[in-house]
Formats: sequence, structure tokens, C-alpha cells
Amino acid sequence: MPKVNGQERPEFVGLTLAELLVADGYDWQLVACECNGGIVPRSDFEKHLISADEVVEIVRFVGGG
Amino acid sequence: MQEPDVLTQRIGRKARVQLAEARVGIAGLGGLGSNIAVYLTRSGIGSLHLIDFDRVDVSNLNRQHYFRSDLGKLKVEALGRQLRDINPEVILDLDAVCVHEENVLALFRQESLVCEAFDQAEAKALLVNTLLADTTDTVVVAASGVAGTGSARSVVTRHVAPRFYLCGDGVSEVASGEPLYAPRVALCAAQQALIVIRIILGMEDPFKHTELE
Repeated sequence: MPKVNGQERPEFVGLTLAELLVADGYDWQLVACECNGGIVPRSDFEKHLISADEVVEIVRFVGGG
Repeated sequence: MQEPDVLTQRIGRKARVQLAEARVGIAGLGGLGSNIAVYLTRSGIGSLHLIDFDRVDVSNLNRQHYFRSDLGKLKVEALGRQLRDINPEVILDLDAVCVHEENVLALFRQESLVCEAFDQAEAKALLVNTLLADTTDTVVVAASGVAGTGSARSVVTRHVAPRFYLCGDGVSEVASGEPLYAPRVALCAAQQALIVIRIILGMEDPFKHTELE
């Protein structure tokens, strides 16, 4: 079962990473995404399919510094 | 190196040499970057590449490491002067440029260790994504979530992925109306500087992914 930031999310199997981001309310321009230990380039967000055992870590950047 | 070298007396010759031979890029010289640069210079970093297009404004003085006498000056120049005043031997590459999609790789081509210290979320994401996706060995120490008055305990360092560390609470943003306070921003800057020092001293393997916490 895919895990997104530590939570099991079976509904995302077969969707693209871009679709996952939209579904969870992320702005693709404000995140970095790691799938199974590797960073996914932004240009691949719409191509990268979520597999049944995918481990996804989404880092959201917020303003302030 | 001045004799007697007081820093060597405090941190030992091995660490002194490792730090003196290290070079770190700092992207953005606001509340995060200006403090990171000061901490690293005090720790004996040999070389810093400082990047910020902006000039010192009176609105910066609540959290950024500048003074009234710096108002109107380029941040790279104002900070550079302070750093040389701390350690006259520090080697500084100063770039008063705005980082964008077209120049980001060229700007950081020589860097193996970069602190992301921007203010804007879009700029943070652009830098981190580019350096992780388009280089093979550059390590990024980024920040997210420094606004507000949340407890110091909520400001943490995470080893999110190989070559990618993230400091901050991850959620507290300026956009939701939260103020920026010097000590909370500096807490994050100090964590970024500390993880950089740990990497340089070999206490931390950025390529081996073991979540810290």
C-alpha cells in the first residue's frame, strides 16, 4: 500500500504524482517530492505513477526567512 | 592563521583544518542566510559563496544580521564586511544576483554544500528541486517554517532524503500572517549551520538516508 508522508493511501495507486499533489491540496511549485528514496524532478510529476508499494515524502516549502 | 590560533585551541587541529578547507554556498542573506554566514565564519569555515540581490532595508533589522550603518548597502557587501571583521582570512565569493530558473545551476555549479536561505517559498522550492534533480552530489540544507512564536522544540532538523536536510517546523509561514521573530529565525539558521558543520566534520553522511529526529 502506498505511503504518503507516513500515512497509508491506497486510493493513489496508479495515479500520477501530479494527481496526488492536486488531491492533497499541494501547489506543485512549492514542494519537493521524494519517491522511494529519490527526488522526482518537477518535469516528471505528470509522468510518475504511484505504485502499490510507493513511499512518497512531500516537503512543502513555506515563506519566511 | 594567527598564532596562537585560539580557534584551534578550542576545536582541535583536525576540525580546524577540515573547516578551513570547506566551502559553503548560502542562497539568500536574510534572517536565515546572514546568521548562517556569521555562525559558519565564527566556526572557521574557510570559504563562503554568498548570493543575494537585495540591499539592507530598515525592515530587515528585526531579525537579519545587519546594522543601521548598513542601510542601503548590498547585503553581500554589508555581510562580507562583518565576516571579514570576524575572520580576516575567510575567502568570500559575493554574487549580488537574483536566483532564477535560468541561472541557478550555473551559480551553484562549484558548490558541494548549499544552504537554502531564501524568504519566498517558490524560490526555496526552485533551488532545492534543481540542486537535487539536476546535480548528482550537491548537498542541500534547506529551511521551511520559521514564522510565528512557536516553541523552540518545534524547530527541528530532518534528513528528508539523500543530500537533502530540512530545518524548521515545516508549517509556520509568513503568508498566514505570522510575524518573524529574530530568535526563532536564528534557531533555524543555527540548525542549518550546525548540520553543515556536522557534515564537514564527517559526523553526518548526507548520502546515507537515515531520518534524524
